[in-house]
Amino acid sequence: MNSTTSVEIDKEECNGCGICVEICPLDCLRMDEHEKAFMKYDECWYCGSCTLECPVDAIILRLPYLIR
Amino acid sequence: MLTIKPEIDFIETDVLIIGGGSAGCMAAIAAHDEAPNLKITILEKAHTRRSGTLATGMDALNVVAVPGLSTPEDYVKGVDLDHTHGVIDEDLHYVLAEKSFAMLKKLEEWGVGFEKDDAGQYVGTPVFYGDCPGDKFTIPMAGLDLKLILSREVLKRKIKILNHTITTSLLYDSEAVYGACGFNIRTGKFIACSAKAVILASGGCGRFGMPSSGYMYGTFDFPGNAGDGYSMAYRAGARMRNFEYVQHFAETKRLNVPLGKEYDTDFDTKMVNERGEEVNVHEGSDEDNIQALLSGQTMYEKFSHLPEEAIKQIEEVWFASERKHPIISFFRERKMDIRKDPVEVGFEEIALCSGHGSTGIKVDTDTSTTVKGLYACGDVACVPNQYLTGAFVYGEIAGQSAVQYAKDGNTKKIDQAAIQKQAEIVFKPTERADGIKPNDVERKLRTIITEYLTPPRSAEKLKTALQWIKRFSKEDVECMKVEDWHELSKAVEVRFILDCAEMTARSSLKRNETRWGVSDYRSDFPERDDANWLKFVDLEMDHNSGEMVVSTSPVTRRENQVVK
Repeated sequence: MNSTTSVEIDKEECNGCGICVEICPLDCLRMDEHEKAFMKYDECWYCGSCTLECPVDAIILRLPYLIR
Repeated sequence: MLTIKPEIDFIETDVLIIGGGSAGCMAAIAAHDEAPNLKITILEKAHTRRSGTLATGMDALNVVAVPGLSTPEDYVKGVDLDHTHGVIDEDLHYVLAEKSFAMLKKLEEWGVGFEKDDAGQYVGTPVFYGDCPGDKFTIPMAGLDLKLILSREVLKRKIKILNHTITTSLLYDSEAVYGACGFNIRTGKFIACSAKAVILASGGCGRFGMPSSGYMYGTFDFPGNAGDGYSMAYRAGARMRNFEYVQHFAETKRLNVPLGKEYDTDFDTKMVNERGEEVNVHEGSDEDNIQALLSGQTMYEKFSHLPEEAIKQIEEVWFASERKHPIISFFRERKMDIRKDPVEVGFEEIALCSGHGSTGIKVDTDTSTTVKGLYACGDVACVPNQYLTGAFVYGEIAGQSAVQYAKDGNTKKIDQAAIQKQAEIVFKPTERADGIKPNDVERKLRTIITEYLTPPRSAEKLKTALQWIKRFSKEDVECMKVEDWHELSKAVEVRFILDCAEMTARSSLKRNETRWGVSDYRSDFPERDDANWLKFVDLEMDHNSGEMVVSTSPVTRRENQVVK
C-alpha cells in the first residue's frame, strides 16, 4: 500500500492531541489504535490547516497526487 | 455494514445557518448582534475553526470601494463590462461595493490587517482583467489568521455550532422553508432542526469537472463544497441562476492553484506554446482565451528571462500566500526551479461558484431567495464575481434579514414520521450488502461532466450529458454502498453534484450564444447575441412533475430600471 500520502505524520512526534483530526476541513484524518493521527481518506486539498494547528510540528504536507 | 436504525435528534432554533465558512460565520455574528436573544445555530460539515474556502486565510479583499480611492458606481460599471457582459442585476453589485468599506473597517476592528502606504492610505490594486476606470478595488490583507479571527468572533457570542454535520436536505412545505436535516459524519447521529428562518451559506460546487491530475480533490475551488446548497435550494423550490456559466481558468497543471500572472498581473512572465511561440492567455481577451482553448496546444509560463531579483520577489509572494502549502510542496516534490523550468499551464477543471464565477441561487439585495424563509449568501448565492467581500457583506445582510423574518415567525412542528422516513433513505447505502462506492460513482460522473459540460460545448454534447445524468440518477446513485459515516456523506454529495450537472446542462442548452468566452463557449453558437440573449437563464423545479423548468428573466439596471 505504501506510496506517499499527502499528510505525513511523524508517529514519534505526534502527541495524540487530536486537533488535526478535529479541524481538517475535508475530514481526512483519524486517530489510530495507538492514539496517533493518520490520514484515513485520500481527499486532501493541501490547505495546510493540519500543519498550522499541530502543536508539536509532527505533520509534513506533500503534493503527491497519488492514491494510497 | 452499518446496520443501525437512525437515531434522530430533534432540535429547534430561531435562525439556522447552513455552512460555517466566511459567509456563514458572518451571518451568525450579524444575526446575534441584531437580536441577542434569538437562538442561532450553525450546521457545519467540518469545524468552524478551519472550514470553508478560507481555512488558511486570504491575501486580499478583492472588492473594496475605499472613499477617495474608488466608487461603487465605478465598480458596477467594471463588473458589467469585465465580468457579467451585460447580463447583470446592478443593485446587487452596487450594494456590495457600497457596504464594502464599512466591512473592511469591521474586520480591522477584529484584528485583521490591511496594507497601507507611508501616508496611511490603503493600497488599492486592480480587480478587473480589462481596463476599467477607477479600478483600485483590491486591498491586500495580512489575513492568514482570518478564519481563526472569524470563528473566535462566533465563539464570543451565544451561537450554537454543530460541527462535523452535513446537511442533507431542507425542510419545506408549499409555503416556506422551515428547517433542515443532516447527520454527524463521525457518529451517524441524524438531526432534524426546525427554524423560523434558514440561511444557506454552504459554498459552491468545487467538485464538478475532473482536474487533469485525475485526483478528485486536486481542484482550484474548495472540494469540501459539492454544490450542497445549489441542490438543496433547487429541491426546495428556489430559483437558480447562471448555471451555464462555469468557472474555467488557465491554471498551473496538476497544482490546484494559479501561479504567475494569474496571481499578480505585475509579473512580467511569458506564456509560450510547445513551439516556443508566445500565446496570449492570462491578459488576453475572451477571444484570445477561446483561441488558446480551441487550439489544444500545450502552454507554459516562462520565468527564466527574468532577473534574479524579480524571481525572488515572485517566490516571496507565492510562498507567503494563503495557498503557500501546496505551492511550496509543488516545487519541492517536482524538483522544479522557475529559474530554468517553465511551468505547464492549461484549462484545468470546471467549477460552479459565485465568488469567482457567476452561478447561484437567485437573491435580492436583502439576500432573500424566491422561497419564503430561505436566505442565501456567499458562493452559493448568485452575486457574480462577489469574491470574499461578497461573502462578508451579504453574510452580514443575511443575518440581519433572517432575524427580521424570524422575529414575526413561528417554528413549525416537525412531522417525526416523515423525518424518520427521510433518514432511512439517506442511510440506505449503509445497509446494502453489495454496491458501488460513492467515490467510484463520483469519478465516473465528473468524467462525464468534463467531457460533455466543459466548453467548448454544443447542443449535441449537452443532450448526451443529460442522457448520462438520467442513467446516473436511476442506476448508480440507487446502488451506492458505504462502510462508514464519512463515506455516507460522500454518497449524499454525489447526489448534489448530479443535480448541479443537470442544472448546467439544461441552462447551457437554453442559451444559444456564447457570452462569457471559455466559461460558456458554444461551438454551435460561437457569437455573442445581444439582440436575443441580454437576459438571465433561470431554473426552477416543478413540484408537480419533478421536472427542471428553464426560463429567462430580464437584466435589471439600478433603481429597478428594467432593460428590454
